[in-house]
Amino acid sequence: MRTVSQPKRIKSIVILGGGTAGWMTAAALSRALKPDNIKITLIESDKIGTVGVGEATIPHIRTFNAMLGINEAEFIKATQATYKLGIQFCGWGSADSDYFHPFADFGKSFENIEFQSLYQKARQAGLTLPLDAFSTAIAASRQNKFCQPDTLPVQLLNNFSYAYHLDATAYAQFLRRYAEKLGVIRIEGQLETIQTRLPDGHIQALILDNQAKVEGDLFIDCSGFKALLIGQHLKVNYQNWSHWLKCDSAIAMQSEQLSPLPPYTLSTAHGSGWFWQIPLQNRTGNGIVYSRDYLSDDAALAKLTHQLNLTEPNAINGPIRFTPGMRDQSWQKNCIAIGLASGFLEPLESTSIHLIQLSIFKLLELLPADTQYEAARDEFNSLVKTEYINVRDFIILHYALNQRHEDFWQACRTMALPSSLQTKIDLFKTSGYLTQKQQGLFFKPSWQSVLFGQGITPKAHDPKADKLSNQQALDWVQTYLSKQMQTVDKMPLHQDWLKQTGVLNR
Amino acid sequence: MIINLIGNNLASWMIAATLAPYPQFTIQIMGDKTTAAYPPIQSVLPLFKQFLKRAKIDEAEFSRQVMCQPLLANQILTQAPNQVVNPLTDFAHARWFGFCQTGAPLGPASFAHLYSQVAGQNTQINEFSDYALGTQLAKQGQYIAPNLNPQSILSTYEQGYIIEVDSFINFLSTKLTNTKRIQPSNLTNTEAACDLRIDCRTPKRDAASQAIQTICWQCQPPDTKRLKFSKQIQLTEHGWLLAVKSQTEAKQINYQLNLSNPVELPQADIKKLVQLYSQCPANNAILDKSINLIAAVKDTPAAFSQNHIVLGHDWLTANSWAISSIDVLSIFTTSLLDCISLSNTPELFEQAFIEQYQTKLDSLIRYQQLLTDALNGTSNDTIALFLASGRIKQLDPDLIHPDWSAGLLMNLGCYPKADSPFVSQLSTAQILKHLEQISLVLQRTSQYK
Repeated sequence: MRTVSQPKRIKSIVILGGGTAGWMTAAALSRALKPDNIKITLIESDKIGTVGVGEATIPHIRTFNAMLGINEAEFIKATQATYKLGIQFCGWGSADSDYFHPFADFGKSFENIEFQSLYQKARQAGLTLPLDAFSTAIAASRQNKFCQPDTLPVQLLNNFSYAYHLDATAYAQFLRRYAEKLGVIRIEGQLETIQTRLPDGHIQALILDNQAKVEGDLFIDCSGFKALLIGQHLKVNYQNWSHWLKCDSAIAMQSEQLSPLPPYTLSTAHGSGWFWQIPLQNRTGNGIVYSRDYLSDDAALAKLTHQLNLTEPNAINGPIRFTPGMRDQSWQKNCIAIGLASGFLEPLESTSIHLIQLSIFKLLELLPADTQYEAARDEFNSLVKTEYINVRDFIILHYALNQRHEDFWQACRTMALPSSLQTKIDLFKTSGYLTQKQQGLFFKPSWQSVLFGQGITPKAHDPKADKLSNQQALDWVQTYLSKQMQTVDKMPLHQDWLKQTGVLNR
Repeated sequence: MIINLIGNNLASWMIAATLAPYPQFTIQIMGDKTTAAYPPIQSVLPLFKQFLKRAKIDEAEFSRQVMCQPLLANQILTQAPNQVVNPLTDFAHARWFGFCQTGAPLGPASFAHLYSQVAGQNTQINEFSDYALGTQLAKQGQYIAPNLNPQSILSTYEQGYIIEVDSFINFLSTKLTNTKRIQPSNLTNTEAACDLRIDCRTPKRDAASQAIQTICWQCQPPDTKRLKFSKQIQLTEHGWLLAVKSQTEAKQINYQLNLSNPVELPQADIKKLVQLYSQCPANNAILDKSINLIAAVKDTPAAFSQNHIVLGHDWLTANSWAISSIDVLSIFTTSLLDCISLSNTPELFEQAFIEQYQTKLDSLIRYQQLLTDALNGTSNDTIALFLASGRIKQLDPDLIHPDWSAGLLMNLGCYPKADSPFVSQLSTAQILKHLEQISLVLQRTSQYK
């Protein structure tokens, strides 16, 4: 006779792994659930380090912090955070290219005509400025200025958002204090074996190296690249996307804080990948991302050291190995993978924390009452997969559109792209058309910044824009530019803003 | 750019209106005014505002000039087989749902979960729809315009419209003075040449479509208050019956019965049905028309060839309670406007347009399917997920707000599994107090009117 498992009420959730993913999950669950209703346990070991280099974020993190009720000033001080208005890309596209991807719109539309078309027409009337001249966030970034958008008068150019650069380890500690205060139980230990339940093969308990047995109804795998539960135990396949995203290694290195303090992340391409520079209050996070097919670890370390004008390496973390890709399913049986255990694309565009956050929000929306959760699981897997693919395409775009001569870049330029991305590029090249989704991370301005920034100029503009003459379009964009300059002139330096608002630790 | 619209009907005028704000487009409507192949009174979803915005039509002007009334909610009347419900008196059978957020979450617990929890405990609580301002106003025959301020309770609902189609076409044709009307006999080679040609004519019935006989009539019952700002839908043994008023203060009610049996009825039988469903005093009913419509029964997207779009059957949504021709045309026109920059490359245009148009249409079709399945007691992916988690399966794009779909399901008795992890940590007293507070706020708001 076949045994049918009765649905079991979820009374205990076990998170395996601390680090950013683990403690973000623990904090969010503890905010939503009372400990006497559902017990939340987090297992981590001080012996295991965290990757902890995901120090740049995107504006969505503010929603996460707001959901937790975190005071922004306390958070900034605790994590040595600085503000971030976007990312500067140097050497992407061509070796001398320089553009920004801001958390902002470009310009201002005229009636139903999008700014991009007005810009294209204005160029026909003689405008020579790049698209990214028409962004308050970029103009502020180039002058190392910052203020929060909502402190600008409404009538001015309040069309940007912001995120943070932060110390990811400090953020995890901050969230740990938060979560433990709300009843999350932290258990020190390393996973030794996994007990499964018959007949369905669900995880029943985790046995640790100190012989502690941690039982649970739902297990969250935040064990990082090792993916101890979802990968090693449940054998969920990992889709390897390294044929599109060729970088597979990173080395991080710290340096002194920058002055003046930039309100943006710097991403500089090199012959076999790219460097990052993330300004924190007390130091600067730097790193090199590269493909071992084109650059050895030693050469990468030397390249990074040279890039930082150091005589020898300093406070190194790495090499960190990764395989870009994602699990076929992030939720399998009673195990949900969040963070690196679920997938990883690469550090470009600072999407790691966002993808963690997305999984947490979807889990909260779909959190089941009992173990009968098939519909919720399928929806979760579908949503996570869709977002990974969207983000993947956007990141591939940076590599595919280049005119560089090095072997690595030539291979990126000539690789076959995912059809979803190829179509998008073709549509844009032909007419400037960009498909727009309601959901997801990267909207039109993000795509515009990279496409224009890396040298794609659409062959045509939207015919709706022909309502205005080229000269009228030029007048419109120049009027916008002059208002933008007035706005940015009034903004304080980033460092001064941190001082004025009392969040600078120095 | 010359754009020729073949056919002189609702579709061609709506497309012309969307393109009219751009004087560089020369719009030519070609053909005589054709007999309507769509219901004469239509209810439209809130997405219609997007059409007005794109066409740069002032909503207040539209409301003044066109015979229409705001639509805040739908009522569905259910009854035992063969029992005719009087839509104007049998209020207890009406289930209301609108374009609104219902209630408010309590911390992480959704309102649907909170309601399900206490509804299962024999607690005396109001109907689910009573916790939504939009539907409550419609029930009372009241109207307050929704607004966009997220801090305001008036932003918790949106409005559609009930529109008299002929009046709408007249409004558009009067307004679009620059649109050329060309009779087929006057077609010259020059005028026939164009950059884009859109065939809006009613297509002939084919294998992908079915015939729907629709009977439209009007009558004047004693009390029409219940049809202010709402429409009634009744699933009868003969097919869908829709009852609407084209204007708030109109005394007449317009009925539309879409017969489920494809066999064309003789005039005598039609008169019997009119009498049966009118519930009006004898001989009060005025048979307006019996029209034969075509409805697509499977996906038949608009067809493309070189610079030529054939609108196809999609917009003739004759057998839909939820989607009107105007809704589908709103999607068509906004998609067209978004993709027109690709019109010089037909293959890319087709690809982008179809993707945008079809995915938007899919979200409307799902809304339609939710009601049908909920009434029939059948499940689908969206209902299964809602019952399990209280969430609406995400579509992208979704022109139907998840709150509206959740409201539809809840009001038809599809409750999510009680005992959600977030709700079970609240006491019944806490939930009831929350519901009471919401009722109080809604009551004050509707009295404010």
